[in-house]
Amino acid sequence: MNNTNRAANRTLILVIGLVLLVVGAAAAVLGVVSDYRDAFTSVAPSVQQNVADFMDGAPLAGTVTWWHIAALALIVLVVVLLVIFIFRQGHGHTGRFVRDNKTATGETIIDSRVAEQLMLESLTDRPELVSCRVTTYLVKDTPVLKVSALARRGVSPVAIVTLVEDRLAALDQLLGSHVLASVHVSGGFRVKASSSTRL
Amino acid sequence: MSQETATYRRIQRRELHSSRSATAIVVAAVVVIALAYIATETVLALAGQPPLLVSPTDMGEGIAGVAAVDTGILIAAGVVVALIGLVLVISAIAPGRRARRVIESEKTAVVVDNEVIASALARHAARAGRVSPDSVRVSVSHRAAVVDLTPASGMAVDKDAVLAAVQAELDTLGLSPALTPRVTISSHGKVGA
Repeated sequence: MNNTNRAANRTLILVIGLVLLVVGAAAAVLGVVSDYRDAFTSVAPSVQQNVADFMDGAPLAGTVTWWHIAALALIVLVVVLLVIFIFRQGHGHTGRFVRDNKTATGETIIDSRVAEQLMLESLTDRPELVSCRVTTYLVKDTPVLKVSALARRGVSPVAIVTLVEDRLAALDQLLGSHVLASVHVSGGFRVKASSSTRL
Repeated sequence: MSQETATYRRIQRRELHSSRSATAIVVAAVVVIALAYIATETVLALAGQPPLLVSPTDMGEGIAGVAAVDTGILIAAGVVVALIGLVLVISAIAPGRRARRVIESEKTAVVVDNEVIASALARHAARAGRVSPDSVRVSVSHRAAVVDLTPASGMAVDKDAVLAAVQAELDTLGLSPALTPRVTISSHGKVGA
């Protein structure tokens, strides 16, 4: 439950996908329809010449023109935006669990690690679980504990949910504030309890 | 409380669908590499240096003269590029559902992998059918839970009892979207199972 911008992901994929689709289809049509190919052959060189002439307008020094600089600046801008986009994926962890708890005598701050460790400690060595991981994400400006449990084979997920919710209630009491939590129960190839008994 | 419910709904919605970040990162990286290459060639051309592969002017002329390329190659290349584009468009629009579902709960946002549900159903089906857990295969899809049971040779399996056990377990889970169970008993038994 990170704060990846999913709409941005899909928009980028959609835009690039449409560009590739249109360019690819145009190239294929160019190969299939001879009228279209003739028209392209007659028009394309003059378009290319126009673009080249345009780029050579507004000279700066020697063969370098302002349009070259502008094109390079545009490329650099897009590259920087895309690199930011790549490194913006994921994230959303928070180190502070309880804030804004000011009273007349002072302020209490509880780090996420406290809640995570308490939760993890209460869930280790439970027979229902192979392993467990607890992290904290900020969702809508509220810290939310994420409990990822790897269930042992055949265990009812409801049993695990009940167990986790039970421990969360205890955590509520301990921290003195209501804890928001999400539970993800997964199973994998490591979950087989032991070799099955044969009689 | 409604604020909390809204937060939980958001978490569940995001847990149930792929973020498409792997595809987006690959697409962005490819575009970055392509643009960086074009920028490099432009700078080299402006500095009067020989190009790495093709100068920007030659690139333009190449695109303008692409109709002269052999039609077979043109069609093949066009179709490949268009197919990649189509795959990207589909992955941008498709819901990207993960093999998980929600268990309704008041206190937390619960998301469970389908294989965990399958494994729990398998245990109950094995008990009701009185076979070894290894003789039961359960596959859970978006709407249905299919239980395949291989009986031990010479032992009849009560299909209705298995179905009832699976249904009872599904009822306690309170899944969303709900699962419809289907039980098939294999016609060939397994010796010693």
